Amino acid sequence: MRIAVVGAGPAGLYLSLLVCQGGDNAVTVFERNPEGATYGWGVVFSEGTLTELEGADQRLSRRFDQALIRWSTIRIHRAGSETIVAGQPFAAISRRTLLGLLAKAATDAGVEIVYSTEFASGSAESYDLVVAADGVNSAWRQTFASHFGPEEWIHPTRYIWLGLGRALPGFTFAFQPTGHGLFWVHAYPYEAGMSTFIVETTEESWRRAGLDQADEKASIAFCHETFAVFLDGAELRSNRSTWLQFVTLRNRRWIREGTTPLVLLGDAAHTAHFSIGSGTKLAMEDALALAEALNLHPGNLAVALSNYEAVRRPAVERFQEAALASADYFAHVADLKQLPDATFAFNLVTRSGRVNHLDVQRQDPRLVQAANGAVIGAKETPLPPALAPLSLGGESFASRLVGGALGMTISPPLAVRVDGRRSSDDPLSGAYSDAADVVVLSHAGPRAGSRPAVDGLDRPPLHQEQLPLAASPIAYTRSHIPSREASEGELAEIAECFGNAAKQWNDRARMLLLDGASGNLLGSFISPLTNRRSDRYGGSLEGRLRFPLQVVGAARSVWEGPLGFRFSATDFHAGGITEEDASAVATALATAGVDVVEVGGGGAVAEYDPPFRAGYLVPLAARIRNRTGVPVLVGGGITTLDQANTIIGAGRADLVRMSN
Amino acid sequence: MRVGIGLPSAIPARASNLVVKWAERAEAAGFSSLGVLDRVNYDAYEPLVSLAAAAAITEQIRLVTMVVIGPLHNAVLLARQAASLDALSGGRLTLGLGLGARLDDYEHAEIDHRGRGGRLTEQLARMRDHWEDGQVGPRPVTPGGPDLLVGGSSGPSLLRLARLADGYVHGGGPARSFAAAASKAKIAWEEVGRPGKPQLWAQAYFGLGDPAAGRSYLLDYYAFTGTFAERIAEENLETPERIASFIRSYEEAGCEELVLLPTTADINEVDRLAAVALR
Repeated sequence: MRIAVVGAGPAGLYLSLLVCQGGDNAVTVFERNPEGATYGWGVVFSEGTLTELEGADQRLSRRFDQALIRWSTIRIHRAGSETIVAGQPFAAISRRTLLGLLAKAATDAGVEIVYSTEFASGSAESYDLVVAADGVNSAWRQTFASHFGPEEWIHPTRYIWLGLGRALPGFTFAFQPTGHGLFWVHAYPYEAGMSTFIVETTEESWRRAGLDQADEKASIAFCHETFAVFLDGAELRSNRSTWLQFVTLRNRRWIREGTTPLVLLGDAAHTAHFSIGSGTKLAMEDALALAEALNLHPGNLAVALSNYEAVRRPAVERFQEAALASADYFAHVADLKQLPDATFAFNLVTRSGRVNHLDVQRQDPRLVQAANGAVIGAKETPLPPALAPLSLGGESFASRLVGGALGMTISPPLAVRVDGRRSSDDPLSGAYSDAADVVVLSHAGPRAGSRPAVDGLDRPPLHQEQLPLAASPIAYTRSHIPSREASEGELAEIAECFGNAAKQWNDRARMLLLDGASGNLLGSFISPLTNRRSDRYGGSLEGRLRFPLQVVGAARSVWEGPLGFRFSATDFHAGGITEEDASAVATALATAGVDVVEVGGGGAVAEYDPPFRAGYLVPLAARIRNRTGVPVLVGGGITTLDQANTIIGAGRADLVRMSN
Repeated sequence: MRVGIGLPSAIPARASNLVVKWAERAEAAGFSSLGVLDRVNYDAYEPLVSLAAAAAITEQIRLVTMVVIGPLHNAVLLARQAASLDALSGGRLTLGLGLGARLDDYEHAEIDHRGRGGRLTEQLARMRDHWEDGQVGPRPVTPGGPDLLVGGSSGPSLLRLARLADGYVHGGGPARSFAAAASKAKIAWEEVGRPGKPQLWAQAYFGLGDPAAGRSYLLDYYAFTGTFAERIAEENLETPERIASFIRSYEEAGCEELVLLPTTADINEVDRLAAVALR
């Protein structure tokens, strides 16, 4: 088979050499830059990737080995303190060395590499396959953009890619507060006397520091000054370095059929934020998978290509998801300044969602011991975070779990009066006799009076006897008639009902949770999607919170124990509540006497776009907790003690609601 | 996990009495359900008509659509059809509904494909209303109407499932992808506050007697997907060993009913599959 590979980066070269070794193929690599014109510093590999590379070509792998720098710790520098995390084996290599080794091995295997040459589109016809390995700005992908369907997400933070003239002892994160805001470094050694040194910050801090106006020299001077203590006299080097915004790239398709098929490889197909590893790792894994598919199906190119995509797409998507979580962590890392060092370190190593409490326990038991202790403000404790005692609103709880086998028992939403029931099957607070540690008080508002939930949600009966009450006259679904706008007098009555219900539970429940989420009455006031009132109960956030706070006041004045409030901190819908408003809601509730807020999401309107997966509300809950200091309860597909331990141990929430 | 078998209603060149004979043989063999596909622009029998024919000659076996392209139908008429089939079969219908993968099905049916997601959601609610209120006859035998299955893994699809359907039906692929989708379905169900749990169904293709014919059928049926057709053909379960391990992997992933769809119109496929799948 005749194969043209566009781009002599790691993906293109590695694929070429594997394909030439594996079968009767003639491969030509076209590189528009001259030989040796590489940019960049080092490239990180995990032990897993190295093992895969070894399986494919042991001789090449031995040459890599000699050039690799390995480490097993992550060092976290933070305002003068250093936390060392053990059990983190990774390796790095100089990009220049990597390309040199790959180019030599490829040439030895019979690959023809043509430098300083663009691959002309007309010449595709003389090949059986064209591989676009020409990077994130792939000209080939852009030529057929409507076919490949690229989607780009531009990250908000700014970063600059520098070299440090000193080999650090392992992977290093440094967090440095400045007058402009927090700046942080991702750094790792990649050859003797050299490290990659990436400086990152939020857009606001970057502008405040004047870096939007700074040239290369001024930028390096700024980084040098900011991290002077940490650099310890070593020099920062630039290689035409500028401040960038990372772009996560996805493509709907990776393959274009035709007389000469075209396939995307590496960065041309996908990117993943640098904070959990390098695109080079993904690119070389792509090359391995494509070479294997081509070698396994020599006579059937269509099957080979579809197998390549089928094998790689799920792996790449999982990695991209983890990389997005990691990037999001860094974008909000400035909020974590209150966390103790051990909690901060545990939070950092679990940021991508791929590593949990049990994993870190294996990697670095001492760190986990310190993080467990930090949950209760002790040096250490035999109890894992989720089972550590909690004092809240004057009440002591033996665990931090709500629901599940180990947690506090929780009631279903109990209506504070008859017109507040979702359906006639729903329990009324006054008539509910089961015991529960946490009692949820609710008024279903615009969703009231539906048929029983077993047969589907929000289905109004044939003849709706009573108009549901809401902040504004909006129909909850297309089957509903519009709700009736609650009058000020009715609101006062309902607040009183909440108060009366709360009073009934003194001595019978340990915590009350007022339900202001899921598009019910309280929630309909909070969300700008459903509150269109022009009186003092609508408009600004202060107005929209007036009635919920009135209810809090009514409950607080009669209920002596811990008081919680559940609200939708996102509507998963355009025009819904903003994250700033959600934080302000938490603060206002706490000021009014709420001891813990449950961060929920969605439901203000019937149609929205929720990312249902385990822990989908946790990042938002964590930001609200760490920004406001208000204790937070979070749930959402969390089923294991390990997940709960990770969330609480990392300071992302104070309590976790367990799912069945 | 229960195992069902597909009817050969979407395989061209079947004899006109094959579907009925197949249904009879499948029930005798002990399969738990008979599944049908929906495709307008193909030589395929209409799914509910096929199941009606099967219902007439069987007594126990469940009848399931995987799936009927909902938005191609008027909700009231589809509710009537489904209620009729449910009544005629003694309450044996499970109605899977979906959006369909091909826009040309909408073109051939002269139905606008835009807004089809919202229409499917609306359709689920309206069909349930018809079945419960009985304003349009007939009454289904199953109280409240036949169980409704839907697929999809986007936020709005999961919401549709959790709010208005009875279960999730997976479109195909390895057990790991089913497990991931089923987990999302369960999370959606709990998060919206729906009592109970979603039913979990899945499907896959098999072809034991003449794998080459099975593959070429799949390449033809899925030609509109481009190279993905190769993938589907590749995943066709062609040996007893692969079927057995596939069944095991789905069972471990928490699937409640797996329907294996035929790829050739050879009635002996029923017994070949039964020998592996119903041991």
